Amino acid sequence: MIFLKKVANTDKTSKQVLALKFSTLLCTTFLFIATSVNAAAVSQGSEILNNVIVSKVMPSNAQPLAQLKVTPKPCVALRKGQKCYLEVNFSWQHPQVSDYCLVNTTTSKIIKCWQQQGHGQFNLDFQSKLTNDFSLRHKASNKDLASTQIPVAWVYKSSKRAKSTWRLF
Amino acid sequence: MNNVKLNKSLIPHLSLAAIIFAGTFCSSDIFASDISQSLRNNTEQDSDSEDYLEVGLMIRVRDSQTFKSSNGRGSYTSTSLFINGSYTWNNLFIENYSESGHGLVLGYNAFASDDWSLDLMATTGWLKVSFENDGRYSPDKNDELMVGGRLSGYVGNNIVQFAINQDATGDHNGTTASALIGRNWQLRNWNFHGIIGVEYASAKLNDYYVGVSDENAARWDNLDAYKAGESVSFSTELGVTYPISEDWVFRATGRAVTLPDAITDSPRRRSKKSVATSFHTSISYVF
Repeated sequence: MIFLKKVANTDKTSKQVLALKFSTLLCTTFLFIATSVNAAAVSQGSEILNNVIVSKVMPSNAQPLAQLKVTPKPCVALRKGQKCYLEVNFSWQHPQVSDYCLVNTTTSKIIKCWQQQGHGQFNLDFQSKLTNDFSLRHKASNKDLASTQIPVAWVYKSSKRAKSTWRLF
Repeated sequence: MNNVKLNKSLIPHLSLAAIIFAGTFCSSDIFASDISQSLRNNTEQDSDSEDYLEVGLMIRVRDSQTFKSSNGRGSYTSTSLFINGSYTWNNLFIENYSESGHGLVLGYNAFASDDWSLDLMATTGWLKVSFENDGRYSPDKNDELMVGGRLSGYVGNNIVQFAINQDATGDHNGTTASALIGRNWQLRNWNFHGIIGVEYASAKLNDYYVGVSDENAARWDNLDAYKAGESVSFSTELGVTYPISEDWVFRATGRAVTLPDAITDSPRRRSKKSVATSFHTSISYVF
């Protein structure tokens, strides 16, 4: 507020600078809010750590039981509709040693299972046209202990080809 | 006389074109097993261009013939900013693609079916990015306004395009006609493409750019009068596009264009190279 009052007493140029800074501040705030909303929308109960979305399923006593994360992300293809390729690494941990499976819940396929483990890692050659969701589950259960996803994004949002890019002369 | 010159000039160019053609399609065969998205599968058969805008920074390296009036350099490197974009409203469109070698284009989509599309358009020299010097560039003759049409078709995994353009400025009333075939293939997130083409240029157009009038020949000691004939030239292009992120795109493209005798025989030209080549790479931000 002090800054605003000081600037208000200066000339027109300073007012323009103030307007610019205020606009920048608004934009930054908006981006921050948008990012927060995005992150929240990605997976309920997620948090962002070093640009990695870590998903936790919270028990009643608010202590995280399981963690599942995947890096890097997102997968970016050139044009909407193209298959996207990305080498990713899954890592998970659970305080209780047991039999767990990493499941692609979008395709309903089991990717890998571990026996009597409390943590694990797995490298996957991700290939898909769509965003895929993944979960850590007990081997004999369909209940998600932790979840994450690999978003698929595109540079050109339309699948329509710009025909003139094919001109040569 | 012009016909004789045209036929004679075609022989080495046809040989080069055959090599280029074979090379391009042998390459396609090699990568065929890696093609995960064919042209038909990864695009909608729709005549509309995508509405978008991108700005980028491009580095070009080119090796081509030189003017007598130049400092004699046949190759050089340059860096420039460029704008790519298109906007379609009903059947009217405006577009600018630096890779096309054209400037700003205004057009009207007159016909569209599942596999074919016909555009009527006016091609300008505004925002034009030049690659190899095909002989149609002169510092004092850079105005360009051509009107014509292009017919694009999806044939199997290939795109074919036929275009004809006529000078609309009245400076030379020249005509060009071209045909090309192109395809792309995806290797993981790398998008490769290859194009080969052939172009006819009328004598009026060639003579406008490389001809020497009797008046000019009389004015300059080392310049003989020259009247250029019609010509046929061949081109090929191989390139790759890679999405760095949702907003940034990397491109690299190599091109080669044969230079017909109608161009290289001009006394205004210092060198007699029959092929002009260029390579450009860019990074651009997509809004």
